Amino acid sequence: MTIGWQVLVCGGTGCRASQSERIEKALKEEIRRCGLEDEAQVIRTGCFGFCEKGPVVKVIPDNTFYVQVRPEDAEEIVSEHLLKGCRVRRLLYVDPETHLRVSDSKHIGFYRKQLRIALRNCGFIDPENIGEYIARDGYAALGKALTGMTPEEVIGEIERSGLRGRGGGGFPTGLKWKITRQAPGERKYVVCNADEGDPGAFMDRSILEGDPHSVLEAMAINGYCTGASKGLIYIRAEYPLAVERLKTAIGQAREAGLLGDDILGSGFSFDVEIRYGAGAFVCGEETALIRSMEGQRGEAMVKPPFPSERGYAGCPTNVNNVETYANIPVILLKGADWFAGIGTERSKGTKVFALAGKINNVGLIEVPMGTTLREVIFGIGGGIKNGKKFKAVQTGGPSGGCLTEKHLDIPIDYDNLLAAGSMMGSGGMIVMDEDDCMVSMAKFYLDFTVEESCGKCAPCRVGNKRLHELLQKITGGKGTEEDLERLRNLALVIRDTALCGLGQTSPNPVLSTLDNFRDEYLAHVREQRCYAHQCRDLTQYFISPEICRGCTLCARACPVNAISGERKHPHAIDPLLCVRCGSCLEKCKFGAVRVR
Amino acid sequence: MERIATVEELRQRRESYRERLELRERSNDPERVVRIRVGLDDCGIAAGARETARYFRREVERRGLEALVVPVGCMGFCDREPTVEVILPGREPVVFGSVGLPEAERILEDYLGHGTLPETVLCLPRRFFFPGAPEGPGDDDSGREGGEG
Amino acid sequence: MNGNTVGLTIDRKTMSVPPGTTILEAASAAGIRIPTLCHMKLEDLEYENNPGACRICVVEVEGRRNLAPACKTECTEGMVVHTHTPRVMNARRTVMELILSNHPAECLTCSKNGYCDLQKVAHDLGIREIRYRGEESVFVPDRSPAIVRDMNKCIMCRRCETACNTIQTVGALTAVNRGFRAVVATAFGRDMAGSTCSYCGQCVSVCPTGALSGRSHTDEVLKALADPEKIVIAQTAPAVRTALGRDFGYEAGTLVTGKMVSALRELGFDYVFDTDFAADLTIMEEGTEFLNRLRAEDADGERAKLPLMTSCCPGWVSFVEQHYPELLPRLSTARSPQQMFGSVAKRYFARLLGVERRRLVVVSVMPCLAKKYECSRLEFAVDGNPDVDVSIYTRELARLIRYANIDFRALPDGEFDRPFGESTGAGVIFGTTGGVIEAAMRTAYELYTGRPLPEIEFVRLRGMEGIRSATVDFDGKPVRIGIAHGLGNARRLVEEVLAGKSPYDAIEVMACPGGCIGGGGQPFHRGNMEVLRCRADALYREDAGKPLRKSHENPCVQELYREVLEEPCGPKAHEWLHTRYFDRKNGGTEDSGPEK
Repeated sequence: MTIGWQVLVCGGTGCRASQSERIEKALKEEIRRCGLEDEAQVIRTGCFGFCEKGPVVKVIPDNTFYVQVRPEDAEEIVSEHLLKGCRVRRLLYVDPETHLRVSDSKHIGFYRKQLRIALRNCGFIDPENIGEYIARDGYAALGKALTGMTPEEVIGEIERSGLRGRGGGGFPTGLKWKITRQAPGERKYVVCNADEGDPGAFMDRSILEGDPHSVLEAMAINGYCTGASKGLIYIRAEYPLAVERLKTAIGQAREAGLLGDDILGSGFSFDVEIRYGAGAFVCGEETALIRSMEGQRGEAMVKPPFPSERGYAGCPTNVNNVETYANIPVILLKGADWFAGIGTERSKGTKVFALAGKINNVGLIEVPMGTTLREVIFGIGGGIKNGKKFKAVQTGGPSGGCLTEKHLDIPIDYDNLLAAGSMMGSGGMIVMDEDDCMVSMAKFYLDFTVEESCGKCAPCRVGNKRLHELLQKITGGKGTEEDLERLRNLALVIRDTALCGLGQTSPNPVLSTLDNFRDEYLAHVREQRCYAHQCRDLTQYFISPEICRGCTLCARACPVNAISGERKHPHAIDPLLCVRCGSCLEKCKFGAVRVR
Repeated sequence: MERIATVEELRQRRESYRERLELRERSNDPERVVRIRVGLDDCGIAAGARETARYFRREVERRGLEALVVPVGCMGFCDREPTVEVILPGREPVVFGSVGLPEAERILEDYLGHGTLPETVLCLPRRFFFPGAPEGPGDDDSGREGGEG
Repeated sequence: MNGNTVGLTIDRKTMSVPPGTTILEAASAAGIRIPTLCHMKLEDLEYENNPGACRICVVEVEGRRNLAPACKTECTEGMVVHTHTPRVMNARRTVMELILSNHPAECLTCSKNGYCDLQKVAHDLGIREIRYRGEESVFVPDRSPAIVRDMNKCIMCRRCETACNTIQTVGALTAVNRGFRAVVATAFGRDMAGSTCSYCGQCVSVCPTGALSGRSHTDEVLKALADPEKIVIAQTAPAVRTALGRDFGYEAGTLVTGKMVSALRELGFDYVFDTDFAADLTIMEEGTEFLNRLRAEDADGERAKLPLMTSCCPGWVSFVEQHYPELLPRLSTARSPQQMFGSVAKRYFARLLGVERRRLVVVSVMPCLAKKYECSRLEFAVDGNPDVDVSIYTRELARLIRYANIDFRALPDGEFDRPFGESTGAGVIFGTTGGVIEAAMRTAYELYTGRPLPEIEFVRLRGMEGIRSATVDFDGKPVRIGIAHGLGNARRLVEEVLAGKSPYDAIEVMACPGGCIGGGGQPFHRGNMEVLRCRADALYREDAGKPLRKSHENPCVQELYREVLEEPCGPKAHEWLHTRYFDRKNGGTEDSGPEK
């Protein structure tokens, strides 16, 4: 019997966390019960990206996009949709603006403006089935390179495409390949950097979970170009699903002869091995990554020499990030001109971003370079949660900076973000609203870098610690205006002197908030006020005696008995006892509890 | 999976997996292909719509047609079930009534094959059935849905 | 430019340097001193610590975005470098303040006071206040028998780690933890006594601060000197006299033997003897043992106990016990000169004086930290009374001299006391790499062949190469000699022995690079290789000036054998002058090495 239905169930980490595996099982069960095994298939795919609305289920051929599906919904999906052709309307996405239900994901604002190149197969194919990848022209680029192109031609194509490293630095990929090719050395290595560490970022994880073969194929192509026969994927052990899918993919590719000896009869041999990281942020820095792979302490080394000249085991090593590799096969198949036609003058193609924070559509998106922040945040991201006011967006994770209202219409590309005081980074985008304190935000990121510094060079080891302490002082209400000067000087010196990318960029959150939100810093040090009420030491709760009815609700809710007062008389909060938990504010029915 | 030894073998392997993916690719971009919408729901099923849908699917695959068979709900033309709507790319949708297997074959041969409406099958433009409605009931695969209840 | 040089400008001086030269090297050659804390290079010893970690040497390179570490940045054609612009100086001072902000300000009571690189650079930079204060490290000091670690003073320069791992291959020290908590430590945070440390003290030699220092025993010495009941005896090792003067303003390599003897007398020692005497004794025993093993091999072709490995160096002995216990039978059973001296003093000299051994206090002055540990080993004590009571190192003696208000430079040249002040040139050269084996050959040759040596100086055995070898013709019998200094080099020779590929009949090992002249207790060379070369030259000068230059010609040694020891390697000699070793692969045994 011919298959008429395909039910795609998101098998990404996010949806699995909300029971997508059980949904998959229930769907299969129902299909069996209804005797539809011959016409309906359930396919587990990688991430759809729309994590905000997960778990996601998509029904083919009418391309129906079900959101927030529960295992109990499987019965209705099968009995109504697959048996009778009637969509389950209640599971369709509701457009927040028009309040209309939308059935096809293409018409959902979140997807409408996306252009998926690196994510082309995520949420579309079964990542554990090499056949589906091959059917999507998988390994055709490798075949094309091996049988019809010289390594120089391949590198030339990549160079002309204008592809730049997606890990954050934005180094021209073709040039890197060329340098690795030209570096003298008997042995060379291809390394895939899958040590994604930015808080809230999961681009690489999704690609590895949803389309692992695209990375394997690109690594083999790189091996062909640089003269390496061994590929290493450095992935953090905290990505168990990605590791599992990679292992499956490597196994299948070996079985199919697409990895191993004499690939496609070309005489070229290449194999891939997985190396595990223990989750140190600094190991995403390529020299630290290499040391970690060698079994040494994961700390950065001074460059030059660059890994392309002297990397793993002292051999020339091409290190690219997952997303960079995922772009390669398409470029070779569709041509450099096609790729170079997308994006801005100096940043070609697309970029994947992980939207997080106070934004309606949390998830993973891919847009052409040059898309404005406004389009990403308000178009695709659906704007700010709860109708609050947009305040800033942090791009580039802990290494980046914050961008504000005035930057919203900047077309996103490497150079524009850098010029605006932030950076592309690996693609994390954390949105902040009016309730966020920017000093606390800078402190949060410093918290992270202080924890994740390898401790090798003095500016990063001690400097970031002192930077963090200064921020603590300011958010604690003990800062002075001189502290702001100290803060700036220290941040600039760390940026100027630290050994590796981690240290050089770690002051960026401080510098960009100092530039863009100086008033907020001044309020903290001059008035001892945090207008976002996020700095506990600067926040005071009090009860307005005119409004308070003495209902005692707040006093009963207070966990530390800081509120006193007689029944039917105005209550008062003892500021010395108050821990600023906000319970009273929440409980008061009359709006008598105020925050200052 | 068997070892793929040459680029030619890779191409063959790709073909053997196409079907699985074609369904998804066409459904992702339905305006490019012929859409054959078969009204299921209770009345349609009772009149044999399921068999009609299966027949279309099998034939589309056998004949290698650039077409997508989309089962939909009730089209509201209950005395002429099974009802089938065919949309050729760039053409106005046409609704066929009482489509059993012989009628289905005619639709494939005449309308899909030659662009002519089969004489033996009741057929009318969609607007005849649903004047004023830009999209027919019985769900629509354009993805734009009406009204929130 | 031409192919062989690179032209650049540093501080408006133009220069051309060979390709591969760093800015630091180029500047130094041009008389521009750029301060560093972590960088250290001893070219003859192949010691180079260059992690680029302290960031004190940063300079401004025109066209570069960030400041560049001079130690790691290679000169390129047309480079324009500025070493003291306001930007550079602000960065350098800020980084220095950061380092100091996590460094106890206890210079006045620090053992490194006056010899501390951190102190010196901070002074040069004119640091008068520390603008960045905050949390400070709180590590518990670790006191082993020989080395004290106060990691609160560690600045993560990693010199000790390089010395311990790369040069010595001991692997006792490595960086652990991340960020602010990063520090150099032993495995599993054990104390040094529980680690694989061999107490060679090279970590102390290179430490720029007071983080690593020798354990001080000057109080014990002063107490003994003040005790009228005690007869206090000094023995001084050969290397001490070449280096002691440096602490009193003499040029490196100035021999201050006579002033040293006078100083010891001034301090109140009752007898001042020379360890060189015991070195002659060692040659008698070790040389005879070697000939016995050589003849045994001649007799039955068994090579079981060859090559004979020297046992004068306690760091080396400890290394074999911990890393290669299977080779313990190859070690000569002869005690080190320090312990031979102690044994003879406590047994024979006490009898000559007609006192109980407990009334004698034997103090050794050594260039070495491991000697402290050696004299604490239980097998070198009789009824709990050690043969050598206290061992102090060269810097400690200098400290004692200053403590006792002795004007060292004004002292007359004194003479060693009899009978153990008599020594030959063979005993003197024990202090430098190759010296022990040269001394042994002078005696073994004559004993084996029965003829006087044609040429007394074995120039082929001298030098600073890490591993040297030579063949000495014993009347048709080729005796093959291997020499290693530095435990890393020793390990290479040992691995040959284990693999059955060692071509040698005798191997001399000194744990410290350069031999005892570069010992962990010597005045700091501070990265100046010239200092070590001058010390070696001084020893050879003293040897050349001696009337007697072969150990077996030492009349006092001859007398000792006539009076008590009977014959070398005889039963009496064995009891007094030989020892046994322990397998310490899995930690210490109860028999050896407890803290005193």
